[in-house]
Amino acid sequence: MAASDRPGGLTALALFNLAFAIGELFEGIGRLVQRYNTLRYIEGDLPGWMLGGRNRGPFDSGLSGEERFQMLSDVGPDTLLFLGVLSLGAALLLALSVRGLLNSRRLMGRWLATLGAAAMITAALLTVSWFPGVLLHDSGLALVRGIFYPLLLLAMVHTTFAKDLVR
Amino acid sequence: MTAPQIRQVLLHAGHNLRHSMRSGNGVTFVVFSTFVGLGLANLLLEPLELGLIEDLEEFQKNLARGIGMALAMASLRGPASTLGQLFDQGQLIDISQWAQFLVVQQPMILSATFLLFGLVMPLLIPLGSFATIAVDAESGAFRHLLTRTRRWTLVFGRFLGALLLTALVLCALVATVVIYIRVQIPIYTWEALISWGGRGLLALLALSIPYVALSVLVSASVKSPRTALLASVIVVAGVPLIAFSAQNAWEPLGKLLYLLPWAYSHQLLHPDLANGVLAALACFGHGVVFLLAAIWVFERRDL
Repeated sequence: MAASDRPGGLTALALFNLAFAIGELFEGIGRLVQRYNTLRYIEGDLPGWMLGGRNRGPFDSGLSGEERFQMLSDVGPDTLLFLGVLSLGAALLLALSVRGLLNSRRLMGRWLATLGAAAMITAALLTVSWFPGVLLHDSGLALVRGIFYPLLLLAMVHTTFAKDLVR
Repeated sequence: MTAPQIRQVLLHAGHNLRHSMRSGNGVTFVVFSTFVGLGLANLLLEPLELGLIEDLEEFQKNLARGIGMALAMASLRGPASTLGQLFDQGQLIDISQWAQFLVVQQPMILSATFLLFGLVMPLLIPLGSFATIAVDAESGAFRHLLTRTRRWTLVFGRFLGALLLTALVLCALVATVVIYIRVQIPIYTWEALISWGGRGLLALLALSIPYVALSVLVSASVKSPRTALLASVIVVAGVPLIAFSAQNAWEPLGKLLYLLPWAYSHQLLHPDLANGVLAALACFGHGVVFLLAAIWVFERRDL
């Protein structure tokens, strides 16, 4: 199938995948930074200004830095590392699937997008089940968004565009 | 309508639904609507989730005042300062009771979410339905298609397809918000959330009928899909802007707002169910008028 025969929906999905790959990249980097700071907190090496911070703004959870890092250390640095790597993996898969979708490829488009979506859903669900609720209060609907789009992506590449992604 | 015509209409509806997803318009509409919808709900939920609301009664009181003011402006369309004074003096008893119904008797976050959806969805709906007719008019595909089908069945079928897509998005959005509120802010029972969520969903579905029909009318009237999208959004946003400006010049011109459901859409959430049903019927009537106009325009169009 020539590039000009590609349905517009595949181009739209590719662009959305790119946007979500960037989002997952930042999510993954954020988790790794969180892990680094949690390890420093456990070792008592965290600067004092990071332990304060209650009521910094309208979207703060109301927790002090100390309370937040205590909860993160209960979650565990290994868990944070796993979630960070999972998000980075999702970002990589989604970014690679962009090219596959644009070239109507079965493996690079359909299956990498499937794996990327599965990784996004897994990361979102594990975050919900492993993190204490209060730490999710500022990102709850973001997690829902993190499940909504991958489900749409899965539905699209396996139904509407299944016959287009065959090369 | 004969059985073959009904079958044709349904075929066109299914084709429109599939084609809108394949062409990218549907995907874009679903993603944007979901994000905007959940973003709006998030704006309302966040203060409660973060525990920023220490006094729930005070929050309810302020929300009731805010919603009351908005309802007063939508119903009476006077200057905000005057309406605010009347509201505070307790002279707008009906509207005050209406606001209390939305905030105290029903799940307040859900009520506020529905009111916001009612303001924003009309601007998003053209994203899902702007290309129903215009895209094939531009490509010339109708020359082949219209040898096998009647023009009105095509317009009606594509309208149904666009409406179905909008309805699916609205159902998913409302269900997500209801489940999320129940899980994160467990101050409401499932019964309260589902019954009010159901009424709000029906209100939004009724509200979507005229706006989808309007998009189909615009799509049937112009040749380029881009022009159709732009024109639909301009009409939807322009009518209230022009009506409010014109009202300042001459009071009766404020009735221009009735060109679209903006003038009465808030009645869909009225405590008196009869008012809500009347508003839904008015939405349906508006939709029928726009759809008949779309068929009339398309029947006479040189393709």
